[in-house]
Amino acid sequence: MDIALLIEKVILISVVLGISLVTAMYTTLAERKIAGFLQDRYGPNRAGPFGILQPLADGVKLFTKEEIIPREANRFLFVLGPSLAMLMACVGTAVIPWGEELEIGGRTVSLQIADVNIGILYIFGVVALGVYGIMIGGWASNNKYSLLSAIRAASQNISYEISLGLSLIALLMVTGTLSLGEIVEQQRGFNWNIWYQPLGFILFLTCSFAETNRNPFDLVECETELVGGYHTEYSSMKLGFFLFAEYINIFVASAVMSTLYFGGYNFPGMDALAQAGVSQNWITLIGVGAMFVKVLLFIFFFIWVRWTVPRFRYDQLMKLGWNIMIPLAIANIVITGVVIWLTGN
Amino acid sequence: MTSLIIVSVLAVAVLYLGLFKYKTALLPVSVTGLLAAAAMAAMDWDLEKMYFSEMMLFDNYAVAFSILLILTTLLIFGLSRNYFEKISNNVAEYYALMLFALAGGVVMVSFHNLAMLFIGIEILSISLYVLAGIRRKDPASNEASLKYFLMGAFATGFLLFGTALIYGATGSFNLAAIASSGAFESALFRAGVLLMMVGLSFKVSVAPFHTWTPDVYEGSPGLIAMFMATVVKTAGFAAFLRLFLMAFAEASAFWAITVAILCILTLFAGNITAVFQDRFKRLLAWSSVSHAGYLLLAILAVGFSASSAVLVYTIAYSLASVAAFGIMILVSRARGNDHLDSFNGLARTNPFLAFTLTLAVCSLAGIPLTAGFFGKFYVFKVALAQGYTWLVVLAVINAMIGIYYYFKVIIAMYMKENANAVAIQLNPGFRLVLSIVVFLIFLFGIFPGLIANIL
Amino acid sequence: MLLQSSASSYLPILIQGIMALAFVGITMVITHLVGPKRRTIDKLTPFESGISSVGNARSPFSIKYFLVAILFVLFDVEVIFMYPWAVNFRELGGKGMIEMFVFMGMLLLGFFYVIRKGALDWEK
Repeated sequence: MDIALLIEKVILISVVLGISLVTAMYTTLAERKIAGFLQDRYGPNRAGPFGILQPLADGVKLFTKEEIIPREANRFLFVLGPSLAMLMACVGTAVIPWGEELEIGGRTVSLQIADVNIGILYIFGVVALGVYGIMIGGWASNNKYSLLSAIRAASQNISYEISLGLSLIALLMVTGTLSLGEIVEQQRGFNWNIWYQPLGFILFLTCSFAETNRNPFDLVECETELVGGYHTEYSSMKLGFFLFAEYINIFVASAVMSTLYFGGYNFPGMDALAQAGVSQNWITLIGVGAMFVKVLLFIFFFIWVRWTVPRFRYDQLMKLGWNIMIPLAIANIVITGVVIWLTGN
Repeated sequence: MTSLIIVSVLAVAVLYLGLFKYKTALLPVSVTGLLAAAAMAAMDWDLEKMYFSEMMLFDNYAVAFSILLILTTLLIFGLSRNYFEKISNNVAEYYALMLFALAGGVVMVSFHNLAMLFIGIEILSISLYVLAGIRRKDPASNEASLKYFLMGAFATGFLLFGTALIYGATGSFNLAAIASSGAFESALFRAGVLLMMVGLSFKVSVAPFHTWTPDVYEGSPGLIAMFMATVVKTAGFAAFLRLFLMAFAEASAFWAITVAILCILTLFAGNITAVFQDRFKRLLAWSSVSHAGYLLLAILAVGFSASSAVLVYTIAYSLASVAAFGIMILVSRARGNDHLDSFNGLARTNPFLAFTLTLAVCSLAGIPLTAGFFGKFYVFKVALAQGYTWLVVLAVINAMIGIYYYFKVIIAMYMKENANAVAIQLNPGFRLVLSIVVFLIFLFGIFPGLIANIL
Repeated sequence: MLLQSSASSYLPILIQGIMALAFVGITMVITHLVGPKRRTIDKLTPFESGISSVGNARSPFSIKYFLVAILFVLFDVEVIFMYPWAVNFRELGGKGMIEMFVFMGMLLLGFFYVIRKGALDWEK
């Protein structure tokens, strides 16, 4: 790998990391604003116009708060927990194609950090590792609520990971590749995978909610039962990391869903634009815009659901995961297989 | 192959019968299925078919041992009526687990690839770990299960490590490819052979890797101990021999001395310790260790009709063990324990049982006119043909020791009296199975040619 | 048609990992240095809804969670087996499909058994 490419990648990674952090920050604001809207109240409106500076204020506050490590906690694991959660949230974006290639000064720059042939497995792995942060943090706290929350998190995540994996298998049968880059290319224009995999998408979406511990599956941190769940004992930026990691995970999940099912950077009419003589760079930029619109819509959906649907009970959660999702996912695989086989391709 | 499929599907079917509470159908379905499986296995005779890109080879060796395993399981099932019901509500699971273990055993005798050997051993072992612990409330049963599991997992580690080293030395898991690789001189290969030997020795309880045997046999329910002593030991030895016969035969100069040492150790450890046992089940456990020693003799003589000798020996041993364990179950159920004193006066109250047990232990000891005699005879013969005279002399001395402790139970039954002993009731299953066993022990003891020339 | 990845294709992922690690590490150090430190005994006891804490939190919990974990291992391994098949689904054709359906049938048999046995019944 030559130096120019290395620099290009470093810049791209910085931009992607920056964007994911900023998106996550403003998702916190959006969450409260939308909550306010849905509950017929204002939401944050003091820091800057429309509360636009609220996330910054929150960040500063978290930084300057006292860092408390409980006496009976395991200090090393206590710090490792949130760090791991944040780390895993940050590396999830590495294989997502954000756009087509850009031409800058004669260089073609790929807007995907790493196009590896096992992109989906990478995402799958990172998602699976994400729960370790919560488990380690919850266990290290030596607090009963945290421990319960950690166990719940582990149980919930692994239960939904099976249906997540199964719903992806049906998608892979359609695409025939594990590379996210190729999957997006196949969906050029309006040929999105959602048309072939509607049930798979719904399953994937549900699992995403469970994997990111979002309402209606936020049993892990449900205030009414577990105080703060796994982050009961956390303060300052360690708490911030846990909360932040969740929002970044939402961002990553939205990006993955857009990529897998909604064509990623593809938008209807992109071929028409190319024929009309619009330069490739513009199309790419519009594509990136399309990608972000999709991602933001998904993030909005996550928030919308949170303030609309009540929380499940734990037995209901498990029942849904095992008794309904898994059979549905397997049925989806069978249907997909038979249809592909019958249509000859 | 069909028989393997039948056994596996049968296990699932039995599981589902239990799920839907058809408890009365369990035994008939299992027995029918096993008969079908044995018949299907017999159809594969002389076909020498390879399956799954040479992962499995159903040659006559595999077919003969599969049928032996299936029929032994059938005999054990014959004794199982109302047995598991007394232990727990999950009867179907126990039948299913035994069938799964049997499926593992069939894989173990028909493998043609080290990966299949591993899979077979694991299917067999994992089922047994559970079966050893089915008396959930009984600490001894739990101990047996845990001990067996830990030891078994440990042994599996050796086995896998050995497999990996052999793969490293020869570049293949395929038995034929290993045999023709010519890598026998490399240290990697030799270490691999030794490690696999250790792993397999654990599984068939060869000294010094036999320490789990008495505790596990004692803690497990009698029927499961019977299953371990017969089906599991047969499958283990068949796999042991098949591996050394088909893959490592050319390197025998290297490993023969190790096997010979293991053989002596096992014989002495098993027999001498058995002398000091006063509980029949433990005695049988130690005697099963000593029988592993006799079987090792045959492995030494790889290539000189060793498979035939092992087949005769395992047939004789399985038959005798079924009878011995079966009567042990009856006596310990009727008289509270399996202490040798519990057998006092059995000849007066239950002459049939006493006769059967006498025949069984005579067969185990290798007295002429029983199948066990010819088992030992053929094993000694192949070892002598290979020039291991000193080893055979030691083995004969051990057989003498064996006669001593086996006769303790005969003495108890015929010479000692028990004033308040009452006759033990036999259910038809026991009567039938024990009669068949008596008949077969005599048949093979008088006409050994029936089984000696199969392979 | 399949994209070939060499070790160097993973380099950007490594770079991103290092950058993320640096971000996490630096932030952790800064927050450690910036915040005030006024430790009191009460502040450092585990939170238990305001009452003084009882015993150690690391106590045994419901066996159900363990059961779920064991079942997860079983099913997830089988799911992983399906990935190579799904990617090569078209090349393997009808025969491959039927073989995998048999495999999935086995999976479902086990799955149904688990459900029916009440292994996942949280109310019991």
